[in-house]
Amino acid sequence: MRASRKTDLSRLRRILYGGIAVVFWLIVWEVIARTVDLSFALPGVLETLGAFASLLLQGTFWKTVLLSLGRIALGLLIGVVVGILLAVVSVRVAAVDAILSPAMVFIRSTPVASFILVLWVIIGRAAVPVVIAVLMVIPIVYQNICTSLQSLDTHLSDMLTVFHVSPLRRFRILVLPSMLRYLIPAFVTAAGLSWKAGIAAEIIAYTKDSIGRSIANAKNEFDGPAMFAWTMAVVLLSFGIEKLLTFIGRRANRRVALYQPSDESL
Amino acid sequence: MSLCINRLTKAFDGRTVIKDFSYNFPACGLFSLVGKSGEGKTTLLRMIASLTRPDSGTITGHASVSVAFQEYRLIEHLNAIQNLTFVLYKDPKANEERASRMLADLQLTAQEQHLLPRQLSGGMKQRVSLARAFLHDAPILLLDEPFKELDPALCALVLERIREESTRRLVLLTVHSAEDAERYGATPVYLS
Repeated sequence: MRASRKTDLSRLRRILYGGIAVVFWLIVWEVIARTVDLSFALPGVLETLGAFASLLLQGTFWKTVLLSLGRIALGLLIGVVVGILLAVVSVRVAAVDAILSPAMVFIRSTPVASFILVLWVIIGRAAVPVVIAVLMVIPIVYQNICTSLQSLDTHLSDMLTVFHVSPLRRFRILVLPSMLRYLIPAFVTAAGLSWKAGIAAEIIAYTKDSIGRSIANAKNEFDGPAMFAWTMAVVLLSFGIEKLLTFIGRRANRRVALYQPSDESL
Repeated sequence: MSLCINRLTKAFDGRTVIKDFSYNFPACGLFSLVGKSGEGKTTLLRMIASLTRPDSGTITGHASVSVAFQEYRLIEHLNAIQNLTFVLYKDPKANEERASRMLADLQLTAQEQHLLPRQLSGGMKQRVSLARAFLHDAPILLLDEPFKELDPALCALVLERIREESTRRLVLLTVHSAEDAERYGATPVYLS
């Protein structure tokens, strides 16, 4: 009883501190905005909130958000599938690992903007955000799946060999739980990264019907409140996506921990 | 079919653990591999189970074996019964009763049989590992230190079961001394 009251109090305190932090930074923002006094460069808090509210009322806002989300989610999905496949082949064939490892380092260390500009020329502006999301996801998923496969419990693997356990069942009870344990946090990280990089790609490539293009338009029209309102939408969506994926990841992790394969599928 | 080991040698990092070892085991019976720690008992069991390759020499008649490993090797997300059924049978559900009976024979209660390995004591885990090995119907049964975590009463119970198994298949277990082998009524086989 006492312990649960203590937990409630600490949760309340955390929420209170979070609220105080938000208010503190909003005040800092407002003070700087008033000091600078250039609405097109740095609008005030109320001005931005007003612009954001009017954005929410526009039908095109939701269409644009959904299209951007769809493009980046597609890239994320392709990246996860390709990353897993490459990792599985790479762990089995040393030559593939030798070829892919420098490529992964190259992708990780090259500035996203460079990729965006090169891809814009080669594949055109519409597909750039999707491909950029793919490129952001692959190295993260590849690395994590390689690690999960390399760190499989050899003792358990030996035991399954001795008892002639079928490859499918071996995958379900040995490989899959290990892969999911690494893949879930990798997926959450990759989603956040691909979202930000995808929006950047939309801004630079000026992709049609996208959040990035809306931000670029607002900048070109010196409409500071609109630019900040769109950015606020990106931040809120990023926060929402991260929270949603963390929640799903936590549930999936719990399932992995309690994982019991069903009879039929084995 | 008997197990024939011919001039087996194995070294790790330049240190020879088994040198020119030969022995012909009959199709059934109870044998103890006698040796101190590091003298190659587990290595020999691993070679018989085809988990380690010998540097030279041959083993024949070991196509299928059952093993109770020293470190139990249980799957952490499966309970005690499932650790038997999911590893041993194509249809785990249909064999639950069989597995449960074996665990009950080794003094694991119905409640304990549904616990995950992390909820079991060392002795309980060892009995689950032994039950899995007893249930696997292979002509050779390899038991690596099968009494390590058991109290005297459970030792007697498991020994009785091992003797029973040795009447229908070959059972090899590892022990540290000839006295242990004698106590278990097993024919001693010296590695060095």
